[in-house]
Amino acid sequence: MIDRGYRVGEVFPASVCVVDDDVDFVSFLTRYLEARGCRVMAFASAEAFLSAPAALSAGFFLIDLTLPGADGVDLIGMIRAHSHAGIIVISGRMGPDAFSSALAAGADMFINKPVRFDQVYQAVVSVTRRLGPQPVSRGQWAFNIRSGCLVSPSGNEAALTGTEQKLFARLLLEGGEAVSRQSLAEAADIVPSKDDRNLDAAMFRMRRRIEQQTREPAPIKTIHGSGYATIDVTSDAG
Amino acid sequence: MAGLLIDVTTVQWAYLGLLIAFTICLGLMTQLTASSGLRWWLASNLTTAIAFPLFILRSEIPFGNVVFLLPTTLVIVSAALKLLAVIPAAQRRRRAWHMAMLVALFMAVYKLLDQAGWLAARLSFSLGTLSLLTLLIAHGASRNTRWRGIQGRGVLIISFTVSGVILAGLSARALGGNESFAYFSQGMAQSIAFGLNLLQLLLVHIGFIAVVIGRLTRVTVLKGARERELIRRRRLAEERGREMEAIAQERHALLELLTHEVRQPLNNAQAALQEISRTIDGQRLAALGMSQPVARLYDIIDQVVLALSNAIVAASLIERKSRQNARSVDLAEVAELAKGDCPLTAHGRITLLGADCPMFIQGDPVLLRLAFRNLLDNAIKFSAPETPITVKISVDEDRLGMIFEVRNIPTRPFTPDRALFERALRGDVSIEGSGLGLFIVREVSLIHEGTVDSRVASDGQTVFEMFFPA
Repeated sequence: MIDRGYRVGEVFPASVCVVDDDVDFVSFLTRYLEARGCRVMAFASAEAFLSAPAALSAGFFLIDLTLPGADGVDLIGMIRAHSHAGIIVISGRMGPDAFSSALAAGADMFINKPVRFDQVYQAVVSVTRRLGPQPVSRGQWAFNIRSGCLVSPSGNEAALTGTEQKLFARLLLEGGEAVSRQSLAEAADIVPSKDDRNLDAAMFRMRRRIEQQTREPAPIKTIHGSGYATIDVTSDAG
Repeated sequence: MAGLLIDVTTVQWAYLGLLIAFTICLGLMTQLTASSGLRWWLASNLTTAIAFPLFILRSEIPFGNVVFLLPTTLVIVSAALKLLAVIPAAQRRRRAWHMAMLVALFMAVYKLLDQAGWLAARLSFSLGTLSLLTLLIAHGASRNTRWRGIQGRGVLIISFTVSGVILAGLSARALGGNESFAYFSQGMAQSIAFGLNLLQLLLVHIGFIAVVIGRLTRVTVLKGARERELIRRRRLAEERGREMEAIAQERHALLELLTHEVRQPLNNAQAALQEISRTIDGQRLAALGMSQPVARLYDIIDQVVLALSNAIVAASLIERKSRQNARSVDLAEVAELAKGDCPLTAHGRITLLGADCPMFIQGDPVLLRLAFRNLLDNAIKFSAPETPITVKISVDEDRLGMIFEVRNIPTRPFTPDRALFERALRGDVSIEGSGLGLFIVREVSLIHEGTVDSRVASDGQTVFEMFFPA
């Protein structure tokens, strides 16, 4: 197990809700998780889950996609509307549609059956770690222009260098639209090169810095053939 | 009979007028067809139209009825152009050279005869050359396969043949005459010659116009038929494409269904196996001699799961070549999950390095996990039990991207080969496998615009490396 500075006890949720119509699997998984001190609520359908109001307060959700009655994807959407807790899909479906629809509905990870219980456990740990011990609202990134700090939705901060601040401020000017490499290089006084390598290297280092300090994917995307753009970032003059 | 006698000049002007009228008519026809033969024919007519006024002017002066070099050569050139007009376009370039040489030869011989003062021979030679060319035109028209079955072709051939024969007769007659003999003779003979000349002009043009219209009609009909055939073929291809797509979708759906149907009981079997492992103490399991069979059972299930995943993902990858599910993916997390997917017996051998901080790329986590799992499976299969397998995730500052690298100590010397990443190609047939694993690794790498490579490290270890640009 990789040690990233957490102890398993700190990152594994106290309660897990399992929604799956496979009675044998749910029964064995429940015993496995309960043996590790976790409280488990199991339901065989979305309807059964919805009839138990306390289920929504679970610290984590393990959902099967193929359920009798309401579909697992709809259930994920409903849970996500009320909870910020981690959601992992454990399903026998393998198509890209199943994956993308589950993630679009709000799931954090997709695991294919058959799955070992230790893999489920590890996946729950990974997602919980990614979301943070106390999952917070999945909001936007904020860039503080005065301090040059970028704050992640989880509240983690990344301190940018002078050049990186200029680059990020230029990206923010376009409000999520693509900014050309030339514009970025001019804004940050980066010596232009034929293949834009200097700028790409600066952007690469900035991404790495943000990811290392916040432990979250940097809110910057590469627009192939155009340049770069920010994703869900607000500026804060504060 | 005296009433039949027509003034030479009047007939020549009438001939010229008719020629110009046909030429205008043919000129208008060029708007309807791109036939190059028509253009050569027009050039021939224009050449004749230039030659005739010269004849007319010459006839006003003493001995004017004797053919002269320029107008006669123009008539020869005109006949040569008509020959080029009636033969297929593919033969035209070669024939054009022949005609050019013939005209040059004609001019040289004509000049020699002129200098020698053999006027009758000169006239006979001119008429003979014209006769030869006219017969060649008839021959050319009869050999043109593209004109076969077209109305008007017969008229054209017969007209030129008759003209050629008459000209040959005139040529023979001229040889026995004197310097005052002319093509447009005197009296009745002159009237007949005028009549034949005009009739020939009329017939060959009617014939040629009929051939051009016939060709045009045939081309239009063929074009229409070809277009209909193209539309039919396109429709067939579209239908076939839709059928193939439907079959592919059906096959994929069946494959998914099959894997789902197999996965579900496998899942339960694995869950039950884990329950046994959990409830029966490890030492008791060992005492019962069940430790190894249980571990083997886990391995078998893992192998079946990997084979099923590879089969369905390979089928899916062949159809789609893009990152449909691209999102921010932490390579360290995926590596950790891929390690978890490996058989439990191999977990202790795998060491993850460089995973202490997140490294994100835009990617498809399911595909990346399967690719990493396949590289790990490859390392497990091709190394001795208990030997270490090292997984390293690192940043490549030069190439501005991330590297996922797997190292193992090979049981046999490893030779890097790009062909290893081909579908259904296996490095060592004595080791179980479908030949899909490294193919999936390569395809996943390509989908992420990255590269995959294998090499032998300086310490002899086998290294497989995937690079992902940031």
